[in-house]
Amino acid sequence: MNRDALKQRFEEILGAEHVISQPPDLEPYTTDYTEEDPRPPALVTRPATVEQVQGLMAAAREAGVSLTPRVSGSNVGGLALAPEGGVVVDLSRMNRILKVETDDMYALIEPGVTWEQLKAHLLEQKIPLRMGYPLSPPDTSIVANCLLDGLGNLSMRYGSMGDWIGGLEAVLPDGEVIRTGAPALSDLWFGRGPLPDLTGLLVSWQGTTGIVTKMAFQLWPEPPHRQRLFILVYDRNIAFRAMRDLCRLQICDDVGGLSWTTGKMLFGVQKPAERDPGEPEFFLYLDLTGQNPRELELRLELLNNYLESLEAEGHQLEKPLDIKTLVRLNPEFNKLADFPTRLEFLVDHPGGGLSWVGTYGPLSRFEAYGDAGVEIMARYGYPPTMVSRPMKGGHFGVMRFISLFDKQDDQERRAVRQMNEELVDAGVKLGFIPYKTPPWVVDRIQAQLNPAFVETMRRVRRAIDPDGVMAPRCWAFKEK
Amino acid sequence: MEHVSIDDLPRMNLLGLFLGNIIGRNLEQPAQMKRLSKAKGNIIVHAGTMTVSLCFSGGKLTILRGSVAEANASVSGTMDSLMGMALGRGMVGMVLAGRIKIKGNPFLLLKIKPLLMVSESA
Repeated sequence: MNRDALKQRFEEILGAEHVISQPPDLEPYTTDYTEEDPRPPALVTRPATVEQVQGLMAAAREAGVSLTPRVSGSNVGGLALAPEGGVVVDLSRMNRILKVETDDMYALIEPGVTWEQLKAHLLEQKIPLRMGYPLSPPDTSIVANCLLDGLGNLSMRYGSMGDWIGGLEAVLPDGEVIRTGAPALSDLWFGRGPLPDLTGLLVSWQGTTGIVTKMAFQLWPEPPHRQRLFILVYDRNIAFRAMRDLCRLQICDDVGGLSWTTGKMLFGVQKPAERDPGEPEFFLYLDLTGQNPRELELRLELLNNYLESLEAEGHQLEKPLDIKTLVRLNPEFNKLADFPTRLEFLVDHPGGGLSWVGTYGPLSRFEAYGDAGVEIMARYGYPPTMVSRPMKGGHFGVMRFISLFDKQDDQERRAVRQMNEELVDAGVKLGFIPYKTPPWVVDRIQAQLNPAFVETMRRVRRAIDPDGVMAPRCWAFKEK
Repeated sequence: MEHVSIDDLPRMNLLGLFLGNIIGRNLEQPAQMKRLSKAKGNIIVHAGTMTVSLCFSGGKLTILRGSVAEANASVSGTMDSLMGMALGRGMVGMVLAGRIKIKGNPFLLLKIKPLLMVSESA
């Protein structure tokens, strides 16, 4: 089927206004934040219903074209860029909050629902529950973040976002609509178990196994008292140690760490060049909550006791600063006061490029990966922008190395890719695993993955999508 | 911020950035601009292990990383103490308690102190 015939077929399913085919309109779909080469899709389709998604699947199978799902466009690593001749399925019109089950603490949402949208809904409806937020912009998709197993400010307590799913509905490549997790049997979408976890067939598979059309997103009680604190730490390894220790103390809802460069970016320094040897290397960020002021005070007391023990050992750190104090000192810190937030210095800077190597791995090796990453970034002339956080009570953590660059500069894009390759290799060597794994990383790690794991992924994919319709660039293992 | 310049911005430390930001916002008020126009001299500020020099001259302020040779006065303390001072905690009390140490020309320090304090109206 040629492009015109395909376009006509899609228009029959969606209506002409929801099929994008003109080059200027395709432009937003050709790139993402990262150093990936631009890749225009043949067409973009914008379904609004499950039936339309089923129709697209059938048409794509019939025409032998691929479908790559996408929502807000704030993508990384080329995951939402279609291969040549491929079609993007933009799910942003499927943006209904279908219901919030307050007693069972979840929201049933469509893939286009954004963080700011659900937050506004909870506030408007006075629903006394909170949600975890990623550091991605407020207009990004909750479902996409969960399906890519990202992380947020409740990940220290509740793990990565794939664990926050209470069940899914998805259109499989053959057009069948599956429900996984609790909704396979129950009218309430309360969890991924206890049936065999077929939700796992759609989490971290990057759209290669189907298109999710509904998801239960777990919510949690909102403690009425909270405090957000920042602590300036002069040695990053002490910050990493504090993250581990604070997990075990179980007094914080969230503990995170940002390297010195992020602090400077909040003051408008676009490319911090070097660290003054006398200045703090890491900012620890902490959220503490309590059911009443006394509980919060006790948690703060335990925190202060811990910080004093570090000082008694001779480690240099500043007293905790409340976010409200920081905002008075510099109103730009307001960006870190409430989530979701848009960190313009990362996503709206003049060069426009934002890339990162993000990995989940053992907290016991944060120091080693930190050392390796800082050395690699310095060698390429990039300031060591790092964001880290312990997750799931400290069973593992995230380590991210972030670089900002000029997307129009081909030479710089190549340098960033080369640096990222080294960062991935260093992490994998230390037992860290890249998440939201870009295709170029898949190429890099395939030889090191357990061979039976690779073969099983291939078999599952062939079984679910024998025609190879879904997101063919993702998890594209090379044949032996 | 045209009256405040930070020397070698990409290499400036956090202390210099904080001070530059506070002073820059204060200068939106005419009274503070007048204060700046009258200030002359160099003040070294140490916070923890960070040092910057505030060089006042000709109605302008230049912030440099490290210490300049010809200083008229200096202020030292922890980052916490200096931020406390900027937020209006009593400077005299902190000096008496030894949390902030001052050296050199105290009149110059008194003259520029309002520039270093967070103004809620700024």
